[in-house]
Amino acid sequence: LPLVLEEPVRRSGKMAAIALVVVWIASSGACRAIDITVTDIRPPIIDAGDLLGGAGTGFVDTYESATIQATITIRNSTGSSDTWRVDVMRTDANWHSDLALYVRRTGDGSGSGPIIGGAAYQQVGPSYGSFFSGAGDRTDIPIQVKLTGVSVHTAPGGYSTTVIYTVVDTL
Amino acid sequence: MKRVVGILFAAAVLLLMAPAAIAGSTDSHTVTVTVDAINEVAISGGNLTLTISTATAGSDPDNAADSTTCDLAWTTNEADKKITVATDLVTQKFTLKVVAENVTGGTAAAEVTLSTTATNFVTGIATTTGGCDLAYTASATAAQGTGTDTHTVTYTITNAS
Repeated sequence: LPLVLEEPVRRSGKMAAIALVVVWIASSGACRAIDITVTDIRPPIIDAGDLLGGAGTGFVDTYESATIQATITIRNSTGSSDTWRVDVMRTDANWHSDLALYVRRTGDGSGSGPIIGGAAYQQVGPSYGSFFSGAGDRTDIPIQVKLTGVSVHTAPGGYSTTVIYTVVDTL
Repeated sequence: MKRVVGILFAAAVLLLMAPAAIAGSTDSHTVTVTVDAINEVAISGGNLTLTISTATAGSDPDNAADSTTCDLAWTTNEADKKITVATDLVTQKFTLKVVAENVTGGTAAAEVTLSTTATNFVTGIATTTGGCDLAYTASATAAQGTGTDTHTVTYTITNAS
């Protein structure tokens, strides 16, 4: 009688062990998630030198940063065939409603996989939008920033927003 | 036991099928735009010479006037501003007046007889670009004789209150 009871228990135990291994493998894959890091950005200061033609004129329409204002690095991919996508959005602290912020990718950075899209300016909105995509690890992808909407109606002060970049593993 | 195994398998399948949701990584940077207080005023047209040289017999000399040579322009991104005018010439032999004409971005004050005291020239300026013609009028009486007054006229954009 004890032998009859012992066999199903062993079988269930093996299955549970196998399931745990599968879960562990799956979980460890998640632990190797692709990472994204972005460098800080130098804030623009708008003063009288930004008037179109001195007193009596308004502000220049567009402020463009240096072509390498910040860089993005993608790491911890599983290889050059591990595809990903970078999404971008902003969360405002005290952003002025007249201001519009744009980003674009001005280079490929370094890496073995492909990198696609993001070369044209796209507005950074309050919800995620696709920025660019690629595969494999890639370092120092240069980012340029553009600002529009400054006018004499923009009261003096500081206006802040946080630009959030998220890398999504697309397999 | 079967239920436990089933749950573990389901969890494994979910983890394997949804790596995109799990693998998202985020970083951010803050963009701060600083807009300085900007209050700019500029004269165009250069220096102006008014010559009183005619008169009608029995009357004081005719005024000399010009409203086309010089303009004033301004830009401010602040509210509640005004422009004042003053001369540096303390002792004046003759009279020099100025008024803003064809004003945009503000309201012309009454004609000002120039003195070393800053006097309102254009008021009601707020977050705007603007401009006007500078209309000068010089006058003299026969009793004041001849001579030359040289003024350095200064326009200042300042707080209205």
